[in-house]
Amino acid sequence: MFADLEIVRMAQGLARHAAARQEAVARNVANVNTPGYKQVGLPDFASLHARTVSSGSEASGMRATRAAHLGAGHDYAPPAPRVVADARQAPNGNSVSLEGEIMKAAELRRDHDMALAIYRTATSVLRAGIGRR
Amino acid sequence: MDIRATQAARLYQGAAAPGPSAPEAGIPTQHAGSFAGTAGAALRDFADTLRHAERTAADAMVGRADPHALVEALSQSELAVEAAVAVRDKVVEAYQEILRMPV
Amino acid sequence: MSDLLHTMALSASGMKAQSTRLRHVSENIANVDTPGFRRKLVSFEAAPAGIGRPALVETGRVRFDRSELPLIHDPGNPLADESGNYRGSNVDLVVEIADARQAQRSYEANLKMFDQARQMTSNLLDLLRN
Repeated sequence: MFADLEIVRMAQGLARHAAARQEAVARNVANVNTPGYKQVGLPDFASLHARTVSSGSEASGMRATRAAHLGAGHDYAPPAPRVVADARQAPNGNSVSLEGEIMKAAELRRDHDMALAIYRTATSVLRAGIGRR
Repeated sequence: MDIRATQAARLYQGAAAPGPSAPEAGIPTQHAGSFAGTAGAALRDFADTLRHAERTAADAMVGRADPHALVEALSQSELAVEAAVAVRDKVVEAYQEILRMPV
Repeated sequence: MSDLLHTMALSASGMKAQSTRLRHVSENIANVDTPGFRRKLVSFEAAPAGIGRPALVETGRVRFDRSELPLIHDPGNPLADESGNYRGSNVDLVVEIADARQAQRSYEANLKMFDQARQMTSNLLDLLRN
């Protein structure tokens, strides 16, 4: 169940990932008028940490998507933001789309809230187990 | 809310009225109706609830489950844990009560 | 955690840059009839990240719009030369108002990002409360 605290660690990773994405989005929005600025972004949490849940067994097939990850992907650190390729450019070389960034901000807000809710529930379950007695 | 969330009430029912009122799924027939049988089924249900909640949470974080399923699974697991803890506390209290009885 | 604080600093620098832009637009609009006034242009640049400071956005140097000042024909004006013309300002009201609207939109977007970062931080710290 919650024995190996995988859910807790994943929730923490998702929250951190959402915060890193928020920084990328804020940098894009702040530079929406800077000539020659190229939009930066982070890959999706799902694509970074694809998890195959095998039915009926506790072992999770965690995929290490990058060789640099030690411990077969148990570390959920978000990657550094990278320039988004093939983004449409304005005449002054700026490639930020304001509407796209606001949409991303809404998505990551929802992810962050969900991660915190899962974290809170998991810790309250553990806390109830410790409980009185 | 799922009936499984009131597992504690059913447990007491099974203990109070043994016999044909407890045809639980997964209980071997010689234990059907006994306290051990009902308790075993309740524990299995409880473990299933928690496992389902964990799986749904992992799926929701990756984007495969919808938020409604997540909220339902998480609150079920919270209620199940609280019910199980309440039962455990009662059992421990009853045991201590028995210990306190003068022989 | 420093992610979100950096985020707020980034958004704040964006808001400051946009409000500087709006200030120059207002200056241009105020001087639309001033003879010989050259329109001011603000350029943005991304300041490089220093030690312990994220990459912010700043306004660069203010430049003058070097396009030609229009000739206005008004013989009664004290500044008119012998053919009755004098140089006005090269401020176009339509362009300036469109620029002001853009500046406001960018400002509000930055404000929204700032607010979201602040709320995310607040929700995170609420976990410790109960």
